[in-house]
Amino acid sequence: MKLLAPFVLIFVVLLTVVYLDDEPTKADIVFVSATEIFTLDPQRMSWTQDIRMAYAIYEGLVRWNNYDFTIEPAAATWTLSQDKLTYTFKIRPDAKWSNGDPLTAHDFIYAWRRALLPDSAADYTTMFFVIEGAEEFFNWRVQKLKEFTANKDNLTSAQRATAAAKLWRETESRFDEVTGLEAVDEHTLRVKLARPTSYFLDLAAFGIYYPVYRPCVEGWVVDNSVQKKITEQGWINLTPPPFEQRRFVKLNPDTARIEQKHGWTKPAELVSNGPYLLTDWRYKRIFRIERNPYYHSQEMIQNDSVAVTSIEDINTAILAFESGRIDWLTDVGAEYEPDMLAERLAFEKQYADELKAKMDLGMSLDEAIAELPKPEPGQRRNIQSFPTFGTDFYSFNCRAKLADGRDNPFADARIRRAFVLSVDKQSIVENVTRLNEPVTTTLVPIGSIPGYVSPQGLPYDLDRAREEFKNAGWEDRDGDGLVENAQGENFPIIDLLYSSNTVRYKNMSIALRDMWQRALGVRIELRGKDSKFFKDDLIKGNFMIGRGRWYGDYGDPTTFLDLFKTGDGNNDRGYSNKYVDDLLAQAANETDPAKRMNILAECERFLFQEEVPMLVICQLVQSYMYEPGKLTGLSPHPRLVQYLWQMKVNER
Amino acid sequence: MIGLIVRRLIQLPLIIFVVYTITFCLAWLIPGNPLENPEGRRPPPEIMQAMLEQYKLDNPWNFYWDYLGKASGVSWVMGNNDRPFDLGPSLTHQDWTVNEILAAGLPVSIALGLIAILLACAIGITAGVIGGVKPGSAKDFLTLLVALIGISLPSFVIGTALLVVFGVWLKLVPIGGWGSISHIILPAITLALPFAAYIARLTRFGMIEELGSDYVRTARAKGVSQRAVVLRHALKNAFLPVLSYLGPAAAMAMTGSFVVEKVFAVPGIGTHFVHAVLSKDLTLIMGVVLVYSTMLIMFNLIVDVLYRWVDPRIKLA
Repeated sequence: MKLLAPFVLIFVVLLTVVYLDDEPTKADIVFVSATEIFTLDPQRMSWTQDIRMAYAIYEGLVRWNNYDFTIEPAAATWTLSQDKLTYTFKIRPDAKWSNGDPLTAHDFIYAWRRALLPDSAADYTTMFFVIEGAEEFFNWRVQKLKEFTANKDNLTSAQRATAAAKLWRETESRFDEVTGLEAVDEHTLRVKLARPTSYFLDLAAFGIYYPVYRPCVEGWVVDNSVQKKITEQGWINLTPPPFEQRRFVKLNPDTARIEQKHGWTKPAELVSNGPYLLTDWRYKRIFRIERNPYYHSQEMIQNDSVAVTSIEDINTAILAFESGRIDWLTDVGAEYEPDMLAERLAFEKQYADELKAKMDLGMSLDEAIAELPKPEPGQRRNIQSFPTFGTDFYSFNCRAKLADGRDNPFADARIRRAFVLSVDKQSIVENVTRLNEPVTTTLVPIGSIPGYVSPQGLPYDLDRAREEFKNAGWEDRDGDGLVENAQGENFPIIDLLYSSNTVRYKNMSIALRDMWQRALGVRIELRGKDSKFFKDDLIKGNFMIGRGRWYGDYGDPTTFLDLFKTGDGNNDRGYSNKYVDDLLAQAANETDPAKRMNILAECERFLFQEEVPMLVICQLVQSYMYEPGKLTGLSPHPRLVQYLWQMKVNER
Repeated sequence: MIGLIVRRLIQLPLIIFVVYTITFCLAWLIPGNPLENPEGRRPPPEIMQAMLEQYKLDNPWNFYWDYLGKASGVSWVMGNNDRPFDLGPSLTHQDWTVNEILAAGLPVSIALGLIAILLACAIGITAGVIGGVKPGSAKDFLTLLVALIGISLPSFVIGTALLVVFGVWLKLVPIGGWGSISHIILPAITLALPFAAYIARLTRFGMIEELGSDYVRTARAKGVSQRAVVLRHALKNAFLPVLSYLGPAAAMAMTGSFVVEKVFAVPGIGTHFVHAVLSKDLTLIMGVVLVYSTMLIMFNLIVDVLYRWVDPRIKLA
């Protein structure tokens, strides 16, 4: 019995602990996200699941409703000046932070300043460079920080701290001086742009442009009387507490940088201005938001609470969905996803006539599907795939020399054209990925940007491919099935780089190799690499053909076409063409939206009919699992911006 | 006994230091940059540089000493840091510190691990005794079969099968998540099975050996009942090998099983560790390893002390 005593004790204690730690009540909407939310700091976001949350707990000046910026309530109304350079935003007087303090123009300026500081900012800083003086301010700060670091060894630590504080004061006033941001009054924000930017509203609607509440972000330690003053007069009219009394920012005396600590994005701390409040967040366990009582348009919010369960294993997530406890599964990356989609297709096919009849009566696809009888075995209706704002492609290395110093055959546009012309994309999406993605010949997803008409790229045409290849000097001269040039040398063995983490790109690369070997008589070596090594090679240009994909960020073709700008940080192809650069510059200065779109369309036409720096395969798709008719409010628009407050679970 | 505990506790920081150093060297060699979104837009180089410097990732030497100071609490003692045992911010999950992540995940893994080990003992010892009392019988064969299945079927197969049956078909338990007893049952069973199988085999061999020994024959000769012979005399001694196995087994179960946590979406520490390594989240890797190794050493110590308590004949250095 001596032996058993400790075990019994532990067991009882454990059961008590587990029992007391009870589950929260079920939320109105429960969804599963494959990836954990990384951050709720809007200025540092770059992942889809984070930005989706930004839309729920914060609110920007304007809101994108898939077509324009007018219908949904947002924090402001705006006017644009004649020269298209100055936006004036009138912030709603009833817009409030979740602690009841009014939302002011200063909150936006503060948030955007955070984004523009090289100290701690993140991936999207360059998206703020459309604001007048923003780039200049950024570069100025970078320069000053460099000077400080270079000089710091000459200073004692006390001097350093003083110098860092002085530089920070300078930075604050410099920001107010040079950038075109001005709070005309508490509720009026004037934004001067560096150049006419027709997509500025789109940027302002993007998560990273959302405001944050300074006393919360910096963790001001204030007593009640000061807190009262903040509420009454706004934080802008108070001297901020010294850095020692700010819990979440620090001025590092060794680097003169402002360091943002985290902790302010937790339920107990976070002050936000969106439709929801963060009420619970435990790492990889539960994430829960609830209706914000201070939100100005309560009637807009269709549900009272949303919970995210994080289930990383896709099989488990699908099982969880099948068990009926989950309303929406945002990602179905399973190997059997194509089979599930085929089951859906079989269901739609069986009831094709009824579906059509119902949709002719004005029903949406989901409503029509919901009225059909239950799927039989081998059919299903709870999965659907949507085209997204992203494109899958293979990059050609366009540099004159390869990483190892050899001449690069793909520097020649004729060869790139031959390779693009000889790919049967339809067969890839039908037989290799089996997801039937919409194949495309250009990079900007078709139909995703209002007012932009995508040009046609190169078709699948084997004869023309061989013709182009021959013109470039390569044909099979000795009949061995391989191409040679005039000197009788074989085409260099092609180095095709892909990331080996998912089977998708492996299969796709194998299919491409076979197509090219057969069509053009070249030899191809596949090089699958783990994503980190893969990325290194891609950046260094150590490949001939490399797998890639790109998702757009804002509703303008430049979010894709900037990839071809000479020297762009994401130009993995090392592509450079004066005509393209000129067109992009011209578009940047064009104030007439229609003309601008035409210039960009010409740029894309030139890129994908003549230059083809990349082989575009297809528009990417995303599958969701949900019960049609039960969950409503999902957007099928290719931007796939999903607003949680639009969603509703209808009991059936 | 006191001497043993004191000696072990003195050894502890030295062992941890060596573990820290080796782990750091290995983790630093992982390719990649934890601050980058692998599929996303690349930030301007100035910003990347600033972020690397902020997290001391620009220089391994700085990172090594800085982290060691903060994690061990030396920086706190010297007044350079506001908390002791500060394992730093996670590099990939920017809104969390490693301390917070461990505080959230460790209780889950420990609770799951302990319950699994208790379950394993209950199943394993019972099966072992049944088998060991009558070796070669049908019952013995049956327990052998169960043990074999427990050892050889991978957790993700058992786990998924249990999920399908009890979660989807019978709808008895929720799938994924954590917080109630119903969440803990299936993962605990899945995690317990391999341990139970091993314990069953250990107990069985122990029982066979002890039941054949002189003191058992003496007890029988004195007319002690079969029940008392088995439970009171033989099992006590047959349990010793199980006890020595329980130390590492408990540590293994409690430090989180990646597979079980993944299949059941248990928010424990095992998945964090694997993800930390894959994304080169240095602070998280170091934090988890430091906590793991401390736990392992402590468990071995506890088992040694228990051993002495159960069998005073044993002398340990």
